[in-house]
Amino acid sequence: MRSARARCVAALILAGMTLVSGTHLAAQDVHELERRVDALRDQRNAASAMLAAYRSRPVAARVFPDTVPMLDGAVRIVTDAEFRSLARDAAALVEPFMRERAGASIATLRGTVFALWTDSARRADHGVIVSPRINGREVDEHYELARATSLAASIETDFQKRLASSAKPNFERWSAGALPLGPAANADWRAVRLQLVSSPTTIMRRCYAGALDACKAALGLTVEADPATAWFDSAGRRAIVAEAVAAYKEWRGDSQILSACASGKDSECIDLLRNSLTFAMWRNPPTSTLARATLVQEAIELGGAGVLPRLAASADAPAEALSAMAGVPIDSLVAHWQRRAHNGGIESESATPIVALTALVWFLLMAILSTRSPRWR
Amino acid sequence: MFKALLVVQWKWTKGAALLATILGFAIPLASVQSMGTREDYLRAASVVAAMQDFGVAYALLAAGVGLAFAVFAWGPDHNGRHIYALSLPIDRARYAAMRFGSGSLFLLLPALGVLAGSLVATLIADIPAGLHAYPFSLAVRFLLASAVSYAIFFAITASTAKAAGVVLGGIASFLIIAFLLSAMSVQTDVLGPAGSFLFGEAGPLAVFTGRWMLFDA
Repeated sequence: MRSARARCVAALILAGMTLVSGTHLAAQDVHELERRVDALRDQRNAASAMLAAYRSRPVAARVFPDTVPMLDGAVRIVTDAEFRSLARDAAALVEPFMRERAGASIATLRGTVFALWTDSARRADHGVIVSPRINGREVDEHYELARATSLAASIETDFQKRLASSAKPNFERWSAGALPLGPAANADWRAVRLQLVSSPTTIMRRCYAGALDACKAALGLTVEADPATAWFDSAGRRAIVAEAVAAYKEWRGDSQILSACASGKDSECIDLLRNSLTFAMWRNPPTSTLARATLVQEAIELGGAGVLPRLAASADAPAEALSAMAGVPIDSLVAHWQRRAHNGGIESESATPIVALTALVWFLLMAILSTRSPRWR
Repeated sequence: MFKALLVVQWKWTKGAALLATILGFAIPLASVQSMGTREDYLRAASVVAAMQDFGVAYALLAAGVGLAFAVFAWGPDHNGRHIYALSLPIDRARYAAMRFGSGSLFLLLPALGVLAGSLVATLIADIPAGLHAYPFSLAVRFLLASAVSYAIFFAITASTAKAAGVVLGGIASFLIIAFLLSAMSVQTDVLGPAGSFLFGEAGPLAVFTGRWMLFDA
């Protein structure tokens, strides 16, 4: 009896010690983590201070002995002898592009200067630095490959932003990227088509089938008060909830609502889609940035010359801006886009001409090589 | 003479050719079987994913067909110490060209197998809206890949033992040097440029990369 009591007491003491030591260890862990976080924060602050000091240091203005004018002298690229021909080649690419897109508004670029140079790190990667020059100093450095096409693309992107899109915050937010420089590739149309037919929303699939109102909603050109019911059917709602539950192993939401939704109670699914933070993304229009970029590309292609001044003069709302760019009503533009998304780029990537040509060249090369040996063994 | 070589070479190659043709026919059908039966919104995406998974099978079969046909084209000659070839009244270059041509013709069989399998698969598959079937492109790509593989292995097997040793020794030396440089922490990437050359757009193995898709958007 005594020994049993002693064993009980010993067990209680042991359990107590374990509990206390466990709590202590946990506390130690937390303190250690806090200490590390503090140390890292100090390091970050020190690095930020060093960076700020580096950026604010007085720097002697760079001297660029060469100047490459373009767009009738409205814009200049200053550089040195090493990159003179690169700057000229890039300027030759930029000229027709900007005349086509900007028209008479090129005059507003007068006085713009780009500096083109490199440093040892960039040179090792065959890169250059291109940046606008303001008051004799380079600002906003962009790193590009030392190729005329890369340099031209950087300058064209900068021009498009200056002339049009920078004054359109809503349009910029909607498009989530710079104005495209060229037309959409066939691969882009295939990707958009796959997105349309693989979406849990009904509007994407209806858009693929040709419903323009659905396309406009999917592209975020119209405002929807209740996406949970307007963009989804009950199967779609249940599918994305089930998918989210499967994706997040440690689900922190209301399990009763989830199981009710999964078992077919649609009102619970609607509630989740309307209010849960986890499903916030499904309250945004379901098209990707790529899909929107293809719409902008269609607008630019339809609109033809002078697209940038038209965008600059338009309203900031995406639908109005796109309509102005394309020079047609938004419904016509969306209908055009829908047709391209439905039928564009239907071609196999398996056997392209370049793949076939490369294979045939190597086949013939090896055939010739096989006959060249003069000996049998 | 070409006809005689063709007949002889067919006897050596027919087993591999028939097996490859059956496999080529089977792969597209297997890819359709792997598409599953889901009927939800992800059906199109899952079909594309299934086709991508099977792309490796086509590439491997094409490489294997090229290797087997090249080895069978020269194997009996090597074993017979080229006595048959030396007894013929033609020079070596012409003889090698005829061997090459004969083997190249046999490559059509597995490619036809892939084409037939792809056409049958296209007929029996329930292709989701938005996707399209590309049986001819797939078969053409298979033919091109097997032709490149065949040509490379044929060139190696047609060469002298010394030349083949130099090629294979060169590849082995290159890999050993790359490994040693990596082990010595030398910041020189030699495998990257080599891979870019081989598998890049103009490289000899470019045809094996990319998408081998029976159904795609």
